[in-house]
Amino acid sequence: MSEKSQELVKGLNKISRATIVFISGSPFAGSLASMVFALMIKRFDVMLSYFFYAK
Amino acid sequence: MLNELPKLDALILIFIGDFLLLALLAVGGGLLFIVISYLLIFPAFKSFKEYDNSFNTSLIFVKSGYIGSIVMFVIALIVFITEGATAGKTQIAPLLLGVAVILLALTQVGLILGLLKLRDIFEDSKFYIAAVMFAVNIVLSFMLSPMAVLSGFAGWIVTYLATRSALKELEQA
Repeated sequence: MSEKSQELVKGLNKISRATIVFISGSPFAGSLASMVFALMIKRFDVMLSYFFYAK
Repeated sequence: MLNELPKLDALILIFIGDFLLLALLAVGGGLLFIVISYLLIFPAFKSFKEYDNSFNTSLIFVKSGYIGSIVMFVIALIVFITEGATAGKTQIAPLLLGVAVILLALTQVGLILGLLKLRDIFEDSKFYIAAVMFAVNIVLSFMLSPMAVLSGFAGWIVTYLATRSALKELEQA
């Protein structure tokens, strides 16, 4: 296999890996993002307001 | 009539549940897409460019898309936190998030162009189907349709199948 073809194989392997990570990881990333968002709207504002308005 | 009420409630609950699930997957997919673009798609297109220089356009789209969207997401987060601290409510953060999503679509355009080039190289229609699915995903995303998630997932699954068969073909050669 030529050096150029090896680059093609490398690229295809990475795309293939990207598909697996995307399909299996999206539900977890979504759950994590929603949890972080829930934390931010419930606690983050309060925490920051203490920080900024503390006398 | 009274007997139908609980059924209707259950249907509404199922609909809301499905909608939330799709929204969850859309957010997760969007965030993960930035990470994947940086860690896997960009290096993959760099390798493709080494193989054939005509992949350069796709590489530029992918690179500008993920760098731009990361910058916009960070600025939007800073604006969001600052707004929370000062209790000032402007519409800048959602606007910046919108720009980030548009830039993320650029990465996907690069991916589509790359898949079409791969179709020409391997003469495999699966690459073409995946490109069409991703194009449909972009259109539906801008229409804010939850169905965008399904076309996106279908696109990724077909991409996986296409890359596996292309790798098999290269191994046999």
